This record gives sequence, structure tokens and C-alpha cells, in this order.
Amino acid sequence: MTATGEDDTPLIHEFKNHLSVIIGFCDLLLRDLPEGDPKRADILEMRRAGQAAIALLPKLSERPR
Amino acid sequence: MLALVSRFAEGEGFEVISRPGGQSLLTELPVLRPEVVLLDRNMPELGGLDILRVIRDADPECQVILMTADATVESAIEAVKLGALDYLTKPLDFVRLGELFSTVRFGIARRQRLLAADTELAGRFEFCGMVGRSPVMQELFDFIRRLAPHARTALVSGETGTGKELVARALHKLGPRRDRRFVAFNCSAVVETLFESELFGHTRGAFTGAVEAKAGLFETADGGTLFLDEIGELPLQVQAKLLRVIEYGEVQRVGANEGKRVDVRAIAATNRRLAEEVAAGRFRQDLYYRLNVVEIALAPLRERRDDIPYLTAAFIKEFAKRFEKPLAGLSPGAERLLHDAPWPGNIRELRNVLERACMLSEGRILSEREVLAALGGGQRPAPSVVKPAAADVTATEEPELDRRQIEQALQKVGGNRSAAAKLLGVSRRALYRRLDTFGLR
Repeated sequence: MTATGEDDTPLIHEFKNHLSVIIGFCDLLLRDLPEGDPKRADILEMRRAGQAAIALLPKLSERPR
Repeated sequence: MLALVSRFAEGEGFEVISRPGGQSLLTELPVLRPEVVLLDRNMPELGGLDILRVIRDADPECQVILMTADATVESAIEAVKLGALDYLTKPLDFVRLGELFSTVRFGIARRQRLLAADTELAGRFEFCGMVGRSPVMQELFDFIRRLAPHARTALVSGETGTGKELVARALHKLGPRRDRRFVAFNCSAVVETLFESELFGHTRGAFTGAVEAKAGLFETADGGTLFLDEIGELPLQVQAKLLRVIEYGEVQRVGANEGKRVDVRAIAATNRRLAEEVAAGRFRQDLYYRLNVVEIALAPLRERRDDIPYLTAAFIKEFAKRFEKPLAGLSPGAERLLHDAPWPGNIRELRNVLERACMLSEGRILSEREVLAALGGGQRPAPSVVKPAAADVTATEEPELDRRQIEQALQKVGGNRSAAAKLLGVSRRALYRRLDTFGLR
């Protein structure tokens, strides 16, 4: 693995990958849906949650075990 | 992640092929010939940076975009240094990715447009089969246009492959004799004893084997143009007779008593410096002066490199049609190679190289690798770089590889140098050294 070093990074890396896929598909859907489509709000919620999860990842790696 | 990126790229109008790992991509790379590769940096088996390195090595035209979940400044710099188009962090910014795709598309379109434009221009700068936009060539065309109606003799000089015969044909085509014969004769292709009979003909029984009377080329070309290529090769005593024919318009067949009047425009060509031949006593001065009343000197290709793109475009168009290939252009790297080559064989050599490259090519764009293979595969003399004596201490421990072996190996693995090194059983560094020695890089 070419990860950055610590033992738990591979796991966090994997997590970020999966979250990125969720966010990515949200983005694709948002591109397809016309402005004003009622579904947009829901997708934006999903996307926001994904972003929030990614923002938490660094804290996860700081936690002492 | 693959599905996500595929969906986006397809939406952008690309044909997408996805592979789960680096190994399978690399083996298929020569067949797939992608315009752009999106790589994850962290993958099992092979890392994205390693794959990037191999791709840039094998196909410099292929753009690579790296993706990663945890970017560091160092890794980003390394990727860009290795030639990545960009280094994206996840979650992917689709706006940015879209821009990168536009860059790639623009690059492809630009190369195709360039060739189309060059072909069109080549057509405009074409003159009786010659292509030239450079001032020297435009002047030459103008000179020929003005001379053609008048000149009775002319001397065309220039290195091999510069198009001397084309000039002669142009003089013929634009002159008053265009509907008469154009007869070409290569003075270096005839044994010494036969010159006279070839040029002036012979009577029946003039010499052993002369069973039939035969007209010489001067008679055949009567009323038209006789092109005497490599005139410098003509033996001295034939030169004297030739001078008489040109001066008085009268040929005497070998063995005949009477002369016969002919009206022939004689255009001679040479790749030697005739003035020097005269000084050395190998060429008759009077004939030289008779011929060089009008001298047309052709510039070697290396002195008019500006014309290379137009010549290239014209030749690619010709060969794409002949080989029925969808070739529409060439990569910037290939263009650079062609532009910088020494071209000792001039335009003929350029044409041969492009013919080979077009034959080898499988894509729409002639790649650097294909041009390189074509350049190396020719009978071009190896660069006169003498084997560096001191710099290559380890060379003795390595198997001796000749140029051909290396070229074959490179071709077999589709130009991938690491794979070629493995195939040849030498280290990558050793292979690079060889490539340098043979001027193949």
C-alpha cells in the first residue's frame, strides 16, 4: 500500500473512498435533475451528510485507542 | 468509484473502458490506446504513480489524471512531475474533471485540425508535385514558372532526395513541349560501354550484339525533354559527344556515318558539385558551362524545416488513402521528431519514413512511437556517434545489443521500455544507455 503511514489510515482511506462514491453519485444526480425539482433537496441532504462524515474522518484518526 | 467515473466520462462523450487494477490496464495499453487515463493512486498490486510512470513512458500522448482520497502536497508534486495532467482529491470535483476532459478533447481536436489545415495548405503550396511554403521554395517555383517556356538546357543540382526529377518534370510540364515526351535516364544505372548506344543509338551490326538498329534516347525524346539524372557519372568521352548533340542538335548513331537532327530539351541533374568535378578534371568544362546556363539549386530539407509539416501532411494524406487507414494527424511528439531529424536522404527519406509509419499505425493519430520505429527501421545510417569509451564501463558486462534487436524488442512490447528491457534481459538503465547510443530516444 502506498498509504501515508499509520496503521489505521488504510481503514480511514477506505471509508473516504466509499463516502466519495456516495457524494459523487449525488453530484451526478444533481447534474441531471433540473433546477426546482423537488428531489434535489433530498439529494442535497444526502450529499451534506456525506461531506460531514468526511469532515469527521481526521478526528477519527486522532482518537486514542 | 469505477462506476461513478465511467458514468461521468460517458456523459462527457467519451468511450469508457474500465479496469479494476493496474496490471490488466498495462497489458492492454498498446491495444486500448486511450486518449486519457483516470487512475486511482492507491490500488492493490500496482500503485497509481507506478502506472503513471509506465504510461508516460510508453505513450507520451496519453494524458493521465490521478485521483486519491488523501492527497499530500509531496505526492501531488511528484505526480505532476511525472507528467500527470492533474491530481484530484476525492470526493471528486466534477466541474474540475469536466474542465480536464475539455482540455483533453481540445488537444485531440487541435491535432486533427492542424493536419487538416496543413493538408489544405500543402495543397495550396503544391507545385507540380512539390510542396513548399518556405521562401526558398516559393522562389524556386516562381523561377521554374518563368524559365519553363524558354530554357533549352538546364542543370538541376541538389542532394539526393531533394526532388530533382520533379523539377525537371515541372519544367517540361510548364513548357511548350508539355504534350511531347519526357524521357528520364539515370546515368549511374548504365554500364560504361553502353552509354553511347543508349543515348545516341546504334546501327545494325555496329558492334557485337547489335543485331538490330536502335534509336537512342535523344531520338526517342525528339521534340520533347530528355532528363539526364546523375550527369556527373557520365564518362568523359561520352560527355564530349553529349556536348555536340546539345550544341548542334545532331545525333550520330554508333556505327552511322551520317548525323540526324533532333530537337531535344536536355535537363541534367546532379548531386555532386560539378564545379569541383570540373576542377578535378572529371567533368568537361565546356559541357558544364553549356549546362549551367540555367542552374536550379535545390535546398536540402534540413535547410527548409518549415516545410516539413506541409510535406508530412501531404504524405500522410497520400498513405492514409493508399493503406485505407483512418489517419487524421500526428502527435506533437511525432511532429517534433520529424522536424528535428537530420534527413540526409531529404524528402525521399521523409516520404519513406512516413510510409513505414503509416503502415505500422493503428490509430487515427500517428504516434511518436510509430514515427520513432519508422525512423529507426530505415536504412538510415546509424548516427556517427562513436561508442563512448569511458562512459560505459559496465557495458562489457551487459550482453551486446545491436540496434535491430532493441527495435524489435520495443516493437514487440508496443514501445514499453521497461517491458523491452525485461525481454532483452537487461536493466532499464542499460536499455536507456543503448537507446542513447543509437540515438533512439
